[in-house]
Amino acid sequence: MNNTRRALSALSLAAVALLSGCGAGATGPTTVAVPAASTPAPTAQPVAAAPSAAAATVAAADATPDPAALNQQISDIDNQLKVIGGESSAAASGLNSSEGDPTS
Amino acid sequence: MNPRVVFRATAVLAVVGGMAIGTAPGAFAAAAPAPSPVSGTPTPVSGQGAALAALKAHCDDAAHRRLGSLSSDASYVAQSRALTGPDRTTLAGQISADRSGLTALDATIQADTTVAQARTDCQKIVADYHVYVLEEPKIHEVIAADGVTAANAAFTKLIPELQALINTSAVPADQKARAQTALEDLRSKVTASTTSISGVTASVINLTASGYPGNAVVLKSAAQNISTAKGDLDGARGDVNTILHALGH
Repeated sequence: MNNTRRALSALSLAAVALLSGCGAGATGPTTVAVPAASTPAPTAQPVAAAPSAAAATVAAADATPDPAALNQQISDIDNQLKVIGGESSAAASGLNSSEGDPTS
Repeated sequence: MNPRVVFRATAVLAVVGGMAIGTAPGAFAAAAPAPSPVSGTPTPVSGQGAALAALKAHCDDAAHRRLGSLSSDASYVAQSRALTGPDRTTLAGQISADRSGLTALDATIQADTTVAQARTDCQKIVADYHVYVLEEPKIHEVIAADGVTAANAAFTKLIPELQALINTSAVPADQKARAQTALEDLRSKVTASTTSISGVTASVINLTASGYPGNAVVLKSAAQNISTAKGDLDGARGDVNTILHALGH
């Protein structure tokens, strides 16, 4: 009976620690995600709260880019570089040309 | 009757009459002998009149050649995907003004009554417009500079995605490190390109023929900056390949 009471008491403490975000088990996303400066009072925050902006940023940095979208971006850059090269050549050609003299 | 048609007709008459006009410098200034009357033609043309007609024909050709180029330029500018909206509007306005001015100038030349007058006006086809050595290079430089700016933006958007690709890659650490080094190089090249192209469009887009040839140095400087930026962007593109290769893509 005493063992059961002790076990229930320990579970209860662990639950409180989790809810307050400062216990040994509170190392999940919620703790990482919420910066101290903007942390609201942790009163009624559920453990499974939505990830914060910081967590979203971390997730985005580690998300694998869509290969098709990446290829499209690179292809667009290739086209832009072709345009730049062509326009540069055309400009240089004009700079090295002459107008001629329509009166002669 | 359209005076241009009359002048062209007299030029043709002059040629038919055996005059070798327009083939050597100074041909327009020389007073040529009067041509023999051609059967069925209304009026014999004097030497001075033939020279004037030939000069006008040359000037008309020069004006129309430039009008044709400007017409192509207008379409080109309208369809360019690299140009920003404001730059497209500015260039289109300049081209339109040149076309109007050249058309009016050609009409003036065709109405001139002396060779000296026509010659003076004809020289304005070049001096007042500089279509080939100023306007067209300027158009190409603005498109190129806007293209560089767009490419810089595209690379800037790509950088975090390449970083994510590196971060999530399962390749060995040395390959990741190689990719990361290439990414840092890419960043620095895009920064350099951005610096090189800064202010280039603004420096050339409002250059006018009245400032030529003094302002040619601005066009040449812009061309150099565009070339430098293009070199950096080509290097950045090479870095993309290095990154993808290092990550096994």
